[in-house]
Amino acid sequence: MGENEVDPALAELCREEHPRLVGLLALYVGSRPVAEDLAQETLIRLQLHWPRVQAMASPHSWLCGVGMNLARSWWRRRFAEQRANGRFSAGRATHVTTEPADVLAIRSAVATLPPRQRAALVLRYYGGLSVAETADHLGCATGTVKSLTHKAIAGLRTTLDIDVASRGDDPAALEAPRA
Amino acid sequence: MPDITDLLDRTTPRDLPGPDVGHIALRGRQRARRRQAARRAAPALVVLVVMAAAAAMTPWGDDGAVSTGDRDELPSPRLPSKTEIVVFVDHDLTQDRLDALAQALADDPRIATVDYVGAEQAMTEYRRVFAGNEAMLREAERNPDLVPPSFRVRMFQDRSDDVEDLMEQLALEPDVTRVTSAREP
Repeated sequence: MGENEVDPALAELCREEHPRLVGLLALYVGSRPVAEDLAQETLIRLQLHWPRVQAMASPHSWLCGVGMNLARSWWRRRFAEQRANGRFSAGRATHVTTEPADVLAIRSAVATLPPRQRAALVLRYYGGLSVAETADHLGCATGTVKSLTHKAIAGLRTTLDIDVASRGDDPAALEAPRA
Repeated sequence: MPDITDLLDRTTPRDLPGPDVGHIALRGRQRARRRQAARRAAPALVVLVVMAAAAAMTPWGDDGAVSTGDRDELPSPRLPSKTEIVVFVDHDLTQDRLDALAQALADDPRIATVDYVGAEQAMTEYRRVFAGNEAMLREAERNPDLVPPSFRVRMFQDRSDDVEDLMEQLALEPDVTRVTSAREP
């Protein structure tokens, strides 16, 4: 393969994963433009580690983990920047979005969840990872993942004021959230 | 009643252009090259920096070291600076060229002392610095040319601008492979 050629399997995986990666990260960080940047960086990491990731049972799980790690770093940087900026100005950057209102409402509701609940929820119910994979990414026990997602769904119910059907109420059903 | 997965799925961006795979691959390759270069340079750089730091704290000019200049006889009351500049040269540099470089250093009015540390003495110093570090000692056995010979230079002035100027100038010398510096504590 030439210097400028891209492995077709890598290109295919990038195309396949990109929208869901942006969606997952947008839910976690609450901003689609930031999520798009983080998703691109995640795919660059994929290119760097492609021979190893290619051999993995679930490249999708690896991508979710890398994306979430980058998102956590972004949070840390953002808090540091906010602390520094807060000394001079209370102003906030804004951006115009054309996304539907229900999408913004859901994203906003997810953004109000505590960070670990939010991470568990998006990895498990949006990323479609198993309880074990989610526990692995969060560095906690599987029981903790179930508890976190249970609380997260309860929080969403309250914030969105809708009755969300939750397989999270049934710990056994949590094993397979996505077909 | 919406299912939580269906609810979250609604937020998947529908209007996203596909990722620019060519650009991603290019950025990945560029980063891989930079990492590779840094990995290759890292061990040598660590050795040279550690050696330079050790050299700054070592009184040179004993057995094995050829002192090419010592300006104690100069009328100036100025003392050599605490910063030592280490000028590394190739192992196979001929004696003539070594002498020429030593002379050029000794003739520079900014330089107070010049000591030459040959490869053998440099390796002795390396073993002393890394005593107890099996991996580093094995590396020395595997690669006898690990630590190149060098000139250890001290200036009269210790101002960082002067040191940097001299280092930049020395780095341009054709027989010099690398220039580094260390300051006495």
